[in-house]
Amino acid sequence: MIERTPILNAVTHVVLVLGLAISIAPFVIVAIAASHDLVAVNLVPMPLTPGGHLLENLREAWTRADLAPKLLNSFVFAGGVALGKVVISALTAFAIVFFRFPGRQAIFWAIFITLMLPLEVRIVPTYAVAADVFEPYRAILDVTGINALVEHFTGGRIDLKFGLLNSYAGLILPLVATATGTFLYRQFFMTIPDELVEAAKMDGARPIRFFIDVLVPLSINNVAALATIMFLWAWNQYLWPLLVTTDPSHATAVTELKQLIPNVGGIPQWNIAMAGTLIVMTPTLVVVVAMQRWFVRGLIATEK
Amino acid sequence: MAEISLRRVAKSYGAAPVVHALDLDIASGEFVVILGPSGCGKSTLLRMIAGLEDLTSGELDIDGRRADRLEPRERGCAMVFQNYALYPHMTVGENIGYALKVAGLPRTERRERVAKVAEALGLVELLDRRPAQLSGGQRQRVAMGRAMIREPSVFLFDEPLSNLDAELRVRMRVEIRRLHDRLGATSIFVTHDQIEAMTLADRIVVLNTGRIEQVGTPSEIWSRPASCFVAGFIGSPPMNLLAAVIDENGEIRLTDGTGLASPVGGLAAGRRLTLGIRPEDVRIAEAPDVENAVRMSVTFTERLGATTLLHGRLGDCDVVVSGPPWFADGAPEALALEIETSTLHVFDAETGLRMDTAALRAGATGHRSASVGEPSIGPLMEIAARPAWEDTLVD
Repeated sequence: MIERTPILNAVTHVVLVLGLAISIAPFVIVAIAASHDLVAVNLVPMPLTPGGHLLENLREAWTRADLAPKLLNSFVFAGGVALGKVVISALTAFAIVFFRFPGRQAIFWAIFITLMLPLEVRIVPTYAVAADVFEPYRAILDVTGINALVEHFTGGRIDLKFGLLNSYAGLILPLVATATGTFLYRQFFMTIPDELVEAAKMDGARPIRFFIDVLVPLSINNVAALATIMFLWAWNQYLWPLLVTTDPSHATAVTELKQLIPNVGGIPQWNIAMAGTLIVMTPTLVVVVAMQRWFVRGLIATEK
Repeated sequence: MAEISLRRVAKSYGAAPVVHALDLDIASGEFVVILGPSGCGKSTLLRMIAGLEDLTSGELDIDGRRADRLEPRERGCAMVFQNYALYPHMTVGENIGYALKVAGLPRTERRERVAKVAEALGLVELLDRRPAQLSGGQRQRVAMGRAMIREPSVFLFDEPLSNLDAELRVRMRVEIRRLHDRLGATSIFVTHDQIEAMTLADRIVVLNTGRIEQVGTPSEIWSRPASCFVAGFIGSPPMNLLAAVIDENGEIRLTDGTGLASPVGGLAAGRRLTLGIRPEDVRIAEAPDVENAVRMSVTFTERLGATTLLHGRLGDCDVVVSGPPWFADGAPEALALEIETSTLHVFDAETGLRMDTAALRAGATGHRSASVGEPSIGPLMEIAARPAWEDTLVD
């Protein structure tokens, strides 16, 4: 399509630049605030030119919030969630799209409904389960009388106890189930022509073989997109890590930022807080920039 | 290298039957074409043999072994799909060799066999390309290579040529037949294209609404179509089918009274028939007043180059006849047609089944009086009463 509309072009450019300015402004302010000393950052208004204390502020934030192990925790946590989500949603969608089994529709809708139940809504039961994984099973054993039976014969009880608090598993597992990812994969799998499935069958490939040899390579864009979104989402999680990690050894970088925020009546060291923020958001920026190409392709286009 | 036998094989989706209980025997090394219009169940039949669809009922034997409960990979069949179904993320070499990889063959042997197949199909330079970088004909060849590499005992082709342009289709047709002759495997080829069927097949199975209309060699199908359906499906343009009756003199007349052929015996007066006349079998008389000629009005002509198709009306039926090329530049409004009785195909108007014209002529004197009011007497009745496929199936 050839269009010659210089005025419209100019207007769209202005809108675009405005949008960019609005979305980038907070980052700029964080970066500038992180480069001032205590006095400059508390001036009203704060100077909008960078100061010369960036490195020392970064260093101070790094040590004060003990960011090295916390960032590592964050990487394990966000990476684990992203990986888990990619794997589990690919497998779920594989089952839903390529197999006919009783209850398929019901399971599909059950997954669909969980879209409306984000973590924040179900956080209390989720916490209860994480704190004591086998509680529901113990309840079943008690209610059905199996435990009474076992107690009668052996004198002991089946007493399963397994808690996930203050562990990577506790951080990661409850966040792994994902309806969004399942949907993304389902939509993609449904574009796979039936003939391809049948060709693989004729070639002797069993379902798992087909999944690994054909579906996974074909859905690599999807994997990238989903992994990126989910990594960012998990990295930015605050509530769940805060609940599950009472012991600072498993705390994530995002929750530890709190340590840097000045208390009421304390020294208003916003420069240090901003420096810490800068450190914590850098990995997400890197991921977005690095994965952007894949990310967009996986979400909007199904390449042939 | 494997014979295939189908016994009362049927398929229905819910209550809707797609393939009615049918029997078919395919000899080892034979090239069988299943021919029929779209929706006749021919692809379903092929997919049942491949193992991609379950049989609703019946029995399938491949190479003397009961096969209808076997997984596709255990049946020894390879399939070429209509859209080729190449794995888009694999190179040509990987596509061809995938079955061997799944089978767990060592890499060196795999490479050797891929190279051999690629050479046979002229794909050697393309081995590192992806399917997206290939032309239609090349993809087609890769699909065949993928089937060949397993050295299957049965090749199944599901309309593999229908996505190619006309010229390529002719070339690939020849290649497929050559390949079959060289490999000697049993081939089953599904198509709706009668020319593909005629040129490729040792035997053609004509399928209509899930039932076999006729099984026979291409020349049998051409010269002795077992039913109106086969007659109207084979040939381009297809055979003219005219509604006719036997008059009181035992002569065949069109329903508007036009006399067509001299007495044919063995049929009761008033019996309704369908007459089949191939456009090529009609002779156009040079003078309009030749004896025994019938008059045809010409409404439309089509130039084919070597011949001209003349569309028009004969009695109250639409007909097409094939005429000399110069008619394309101006055909007369009316033609006199000479029709040899021996070129007529006679079908029962009710059942659509063929009535043997040789038997008709043989019985022209003897059975005439006996058959009045007795439609079940005479050799032709026997043929008409049996299912169309049966007489051709036995051999």
